[in-house]
Amino acid sequence: MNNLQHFWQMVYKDIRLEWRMKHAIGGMLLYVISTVFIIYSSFIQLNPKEWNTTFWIVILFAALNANAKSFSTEPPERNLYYYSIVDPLSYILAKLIYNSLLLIILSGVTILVYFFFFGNPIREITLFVTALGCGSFGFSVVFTFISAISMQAKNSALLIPVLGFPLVLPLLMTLIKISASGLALLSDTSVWQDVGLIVAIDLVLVSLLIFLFPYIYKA
Amino acid sequence: MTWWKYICIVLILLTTAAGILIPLKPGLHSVSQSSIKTGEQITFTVQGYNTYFEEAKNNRAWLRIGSDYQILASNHTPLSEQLLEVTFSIPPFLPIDKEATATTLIVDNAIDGAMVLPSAVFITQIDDWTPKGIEWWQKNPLENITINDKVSFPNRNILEETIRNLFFHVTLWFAMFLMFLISAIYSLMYLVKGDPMYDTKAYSITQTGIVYGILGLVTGAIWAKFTWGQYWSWDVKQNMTAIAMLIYFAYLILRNSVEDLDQKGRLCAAYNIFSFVAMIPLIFVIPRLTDSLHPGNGGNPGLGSEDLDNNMRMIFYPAIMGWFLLGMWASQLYRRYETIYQKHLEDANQM
Repeated sequence: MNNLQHFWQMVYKDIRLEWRMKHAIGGMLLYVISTVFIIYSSFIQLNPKEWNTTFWIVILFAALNANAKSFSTEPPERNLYYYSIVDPLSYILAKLIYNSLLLIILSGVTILVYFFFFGNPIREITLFVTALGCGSFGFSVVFTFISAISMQAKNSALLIPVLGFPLVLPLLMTLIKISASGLALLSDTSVWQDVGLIVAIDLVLVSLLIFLFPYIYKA
Repeated sequence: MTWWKYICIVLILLTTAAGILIPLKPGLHSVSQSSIKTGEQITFTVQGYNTYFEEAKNNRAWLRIGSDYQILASNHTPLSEQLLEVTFSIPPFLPIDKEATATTLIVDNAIDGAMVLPSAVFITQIDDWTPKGIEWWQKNPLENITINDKVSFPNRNILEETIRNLFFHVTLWFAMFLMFLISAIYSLMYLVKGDPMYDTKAYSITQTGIVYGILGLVTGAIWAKFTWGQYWSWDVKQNMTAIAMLIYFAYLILRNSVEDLDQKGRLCAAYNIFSFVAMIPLIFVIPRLTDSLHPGNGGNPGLGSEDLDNNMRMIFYPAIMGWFLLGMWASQLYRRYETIYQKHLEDANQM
């Protein structure tokens, strides 16, 4: 089998695994709904600014929940086994693509739940969806990297937010600013420049992830 | 190899001494009268800073509108070196067709040279006859201006004496960034070559870098207290640097949560490189995209060519070098201590 086939096999394996553990995916959906419900019962009515901020915080924690476990669902021996039969590049890319697909679906669900509870304040849908896509992808890159690192350390449950949050903060701040323009909260003529910045950060982080992963996984 | 340590000591001593001792250029601080009407005779005092109004006999003061029109004060009496009393007879008409206008105060004498205070006095016009006004306001042109060529630092509004913080706060940031860069390079070399010495070097340099970062935040906060009014004002630059510090604190935590030495080295090296690259947009790109109070943003004086004169440059660049070398020196000492400590642990285990 060549690398491309390996890659698709790994993605397919992750999807099937997720499908079999329905409690995990159900748990994530329930997380989104219950968080939004908590926000609803504490705010009752959200103005667009609060809508924007709380939305991105829900996405951030969804990313943490969905991607942090990417290397810890399977026993370490099996990870080692994958590593010995698949080359690191296909392995990490499969994990990354799977994680970002999962997060993008979760973001879609979150936004639907938000529409249902709080209505739709979005003015520029293209801008908002672009920000959501690029943002989810960026979060996935960072959290995939962090979960690969922390699975080898002790108390990894504590390590993931500690290592990951400072790294996603610049991304998050820029995203909140972009989607504030999407909600017409502020008018910014150079907002697409910010989108370009997010894309650039994403690309740099992906190439670092690909470059550094073999070293992390050597053990 | 100790020669660079001597260079470091010399650079830090020289730049610190020069940064503290060189005086600020004489300048005008404030005036006692803020608005006048046309046709009045008015006397007010000018508060100077680092000036020699008494010693220099030939004080002259102008009120200036735009770059063409000015009137000369009729009487100048120095009350002290820092206080000058000037008397202006404001002509009955303004040279421009406006109800009120801001004028710039210019004071010149042989010792201090020309000093400027923008928007010093507002003049309100009662009647308006522009051609006559132009005639009045062009009688005494600005001439024989003295140029002060003594070695001094620029005297800028708001910044004033705190401009010296450039040699301490800004140099600490530059040195910190250089050290994080070198640490990331060592981490990369460790991953590629696998020699544990590189990992220890990267670790010790990162630690000194964190100390520099904290010092940079503290010196910045003290400066902000004087110029912005509070230590922490949630400015984008402050937030971003605080996040950068969080990233490196996380690095330290990661380092302490892995036991196996080889694994610790690899994970920390990977995180160090990743976080260094993630820090670049944090410190250099994002603050430029948003408004900030910080010098260098939104019309605030900063490191632009107009704000940083050659005297300051001649101290600023060597100061960066000096603090950077001091950081490398501290890292080297820390690394040696750490090596001896590890050795000691090993010996103790063998016994």
